[in-house]
Amino acid sequence: MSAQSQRLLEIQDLFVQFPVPRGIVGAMRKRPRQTVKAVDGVSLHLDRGEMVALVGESGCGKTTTAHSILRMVEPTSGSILLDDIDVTQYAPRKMRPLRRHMQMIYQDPYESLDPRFRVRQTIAEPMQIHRLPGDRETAVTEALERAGLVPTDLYSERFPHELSGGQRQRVAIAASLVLNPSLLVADEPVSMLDVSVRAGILSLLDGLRKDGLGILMITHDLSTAAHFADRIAVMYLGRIVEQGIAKEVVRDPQHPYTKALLSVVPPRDPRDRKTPQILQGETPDAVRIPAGCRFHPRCPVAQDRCKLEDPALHKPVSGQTSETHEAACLLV
Amino acid sequence: MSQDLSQSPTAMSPEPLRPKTKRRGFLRQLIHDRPQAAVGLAIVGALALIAIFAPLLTKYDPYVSTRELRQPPSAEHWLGTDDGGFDMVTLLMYGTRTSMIIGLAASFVSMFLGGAAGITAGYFGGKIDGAIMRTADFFLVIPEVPLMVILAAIFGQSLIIIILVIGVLLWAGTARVIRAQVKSVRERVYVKRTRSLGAGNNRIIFRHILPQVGPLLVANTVLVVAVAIFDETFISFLGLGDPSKVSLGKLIENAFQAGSASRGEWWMLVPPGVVVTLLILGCTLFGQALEDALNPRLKVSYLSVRSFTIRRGISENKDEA
Amino acid sequence: MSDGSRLLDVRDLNVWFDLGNDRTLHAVQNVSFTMDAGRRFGLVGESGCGKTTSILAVMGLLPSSASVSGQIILNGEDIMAEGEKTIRSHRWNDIAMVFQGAMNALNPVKRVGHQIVEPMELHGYAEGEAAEKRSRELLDLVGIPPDRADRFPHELSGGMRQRAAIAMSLACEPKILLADEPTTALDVMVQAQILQLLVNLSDDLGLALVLVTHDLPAVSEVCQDAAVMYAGEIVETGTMDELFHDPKHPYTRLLFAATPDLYGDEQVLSIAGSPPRLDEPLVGCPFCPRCDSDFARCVHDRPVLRELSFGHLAACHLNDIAEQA
Repeated sequence: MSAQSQRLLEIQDLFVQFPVPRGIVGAMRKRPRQTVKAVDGVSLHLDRGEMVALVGESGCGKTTTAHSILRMVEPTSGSILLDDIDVTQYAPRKMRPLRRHMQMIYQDPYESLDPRFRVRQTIAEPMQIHRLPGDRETAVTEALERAGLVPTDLYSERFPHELSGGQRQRVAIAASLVLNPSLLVADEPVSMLDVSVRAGILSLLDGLRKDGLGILMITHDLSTAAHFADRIAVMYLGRIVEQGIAKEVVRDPQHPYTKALLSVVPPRDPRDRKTPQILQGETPDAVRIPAGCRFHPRCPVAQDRCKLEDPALHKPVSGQTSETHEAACLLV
Repeated sequence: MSQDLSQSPTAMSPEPLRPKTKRRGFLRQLIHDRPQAAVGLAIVGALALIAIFAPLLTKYDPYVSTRELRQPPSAEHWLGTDDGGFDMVTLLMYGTRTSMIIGLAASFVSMFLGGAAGITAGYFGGKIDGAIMRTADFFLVIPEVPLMVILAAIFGQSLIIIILVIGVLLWAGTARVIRAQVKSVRERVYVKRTRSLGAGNNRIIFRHILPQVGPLLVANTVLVVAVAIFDETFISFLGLGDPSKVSLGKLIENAFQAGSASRGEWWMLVPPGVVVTLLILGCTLFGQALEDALNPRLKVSYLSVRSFTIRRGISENKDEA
Repeated sequence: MSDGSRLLDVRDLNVWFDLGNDRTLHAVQNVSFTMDAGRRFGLVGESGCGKTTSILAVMGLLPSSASVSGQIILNGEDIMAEGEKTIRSHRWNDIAMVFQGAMNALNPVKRVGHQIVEPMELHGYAEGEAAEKRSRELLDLVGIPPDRADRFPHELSGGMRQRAAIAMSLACEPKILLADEPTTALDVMVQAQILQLLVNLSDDLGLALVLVTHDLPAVSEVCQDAAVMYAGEIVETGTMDELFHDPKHPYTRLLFAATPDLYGDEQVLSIAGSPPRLDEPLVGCPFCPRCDSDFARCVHDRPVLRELSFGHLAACHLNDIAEQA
């Protein structure tokens, strides 16, 4: 590991835009072309051995950001450096060797495995795709062990429908480990699993992180992010509006959106019932991003200048937060 | 059995796996759900057996005349003889054989063409999809029969040509059905996952998509067999079939040429018609049941008119809604 | 606040599913609970525990492969007595349900306003102009702006569609609302809006609410009491405070421990193993194989749900020991 730098992933000024199809009628009526600005200027970094949680509501761009890292979606502009190699510069055809180093875990464990493949076939497949030398069987066994599916011979011959959701997710994780990636992107890895199984999967990811993997976890569940991630980045309408050390962001949020989001998470303890700061309305769609600060229409403390200036991420001026804690709000 | 849950949270204690429920064989389940499949299978099976074992079942040679012309049914000739003195039962058996061979062969041609076209169109989408589907539309729209007649007239009347002509006419329907399913399988998460792993198109198509689409292709092909047999019968009836082979269509054509209808010689005309109808019916019944069972888009949920049961512990009381 | 009138009394509800091949799945086992006006009650558990099946049974919406026993006493009458015959007139008029994924089950070709009128006409509650008027009132009640009434479902956001589904369920003025996972698949902020809506409806209209979910914190926030279900039966019932601070069943305690808290530092636990099969007869406590406090008796002696203090029931042998001590 010493030969590699600590910095695994560096995203700089990522923009991902999609044109909205006008259709024939729209073209004839000369309606202005609209674009969905799914990711509107995101910069993020991830070190080896670190888990960063990308948090936000649907439509905030977190999934699109994750997909563009793996080039499942084409970035419009910006750079994505994986171990100092700019992933965006590669033609899709040339991406194969790079794909070994970054893997994705999907949200739905019931759909992410081919129902006709046995567990060992699913895990061995990445090796076949990349024509890796070496004993496939041993590699499969090791991957199963790393994913906590022991005794391995109990699981390797099974079909997905014989496994529970948690077991399937472990198989998916094992299949991604077999190539020894440096980066793991986990898209809502536990949201479709029962509560009693979640901690097992998350601890597994945590263990992999300790082994040196860098993990980018997409989630809407702030409690999970607070517990398992090292850092949290909160996204709203295509931008990161706050980021910092997980526990700090949760205990000392700076951005009004983060504060509102945290306030509506129901507490476990009925005695902790608090007054949630429920924002009215819903997130506007990414075609019509508000001018100035994109959050100002729903912001409980918005001022006049918020309609005009678009804040960038910066360290809050109060000086009471740590070095790495940043927020994109004119009022902090 | 107290467990210290804070230890090794990553390893799973061997939890009971979902049991391998005793599932009925696919065929048995199919017949249970859709009895018409059994009827279709029985008919086709019986006819196939007769066709295969024809030489053993009849002492007559279909190419050698018995010199007893136009005989009505009797003890030696259960369905009489035709105008050339050939035993009708023998002719029927051999005719079934030919019709089935042509039907199967033609439908294989159609299956390969249609399957390949459907998979290519569904998987690659875009312009390729457009081109293939427009071509398929063309074939779907042309009236089969005039085209068959023209092609047979141009290219001659050998068995191979007939098989190819029919196959080329029928691929379009299969292509449509397969394309639809390929499009949906392609969007499934495990396919996307394999793609993002770096798998090439070949691997995805042959390892992941084809196995999902295969059963439907087979089901569709069974239906195509029915149509192929009909097409062959029709071509032969028009006199364009292979003159050297006995087929059911040829028998019907022959009966017409010999004027058997006006002479009241029903045994020359009716039996081949009945057999061809049975054959097509059998294939259709079985094929439709199969396609019904395998095509996810055809799944229909029936709102149950019957309601749940109340148990009282003493007596059970079924309610009608 | 409850005004004390007992609206619903479910007693010893059992549901079996016929699996064919002479196999039966005992999906709901002796479930009992009561609902008073204005109360909010949580039915909590993980997948397969029988919570959805229980409320479907109360609504009489089980398939023909199901058989049911028990009593469902609504306003003094046992509506389960004759099955569909007796339940039908009460459905939607007295007791209504918001189904799981209802927001995705709206008819895509009918306008939202019209879909709220439909149940009124179907159940003979109102029709024509009166129904239209009430439809508009209901949309206002659930917080949908009037200009959305004439839109199609796909033009509304997820949160709006869920509100529409709730409005539909309230069409015939039921006294009891059963909500099955009303906030799953919704964003945290929208989730909070919907939960707040349900609380307000319960407070303002005196609606009795049963919230069926796996999300413990949501239940903590919304409900006064709850029942925890495991393997088809209720293993503990009590107020939210009791369940969290004084759980009398290990599963309840472990379920809370497996739920991360935003500010807490304790390690989040997972519960190894999986629930027992309900198509085979069960010996002993169903939770025993996964329990961290089991002992000899648990293996062959099935615990019974007993009242330990007023309103607090649990099915665990540990409580017997505690009592003896």
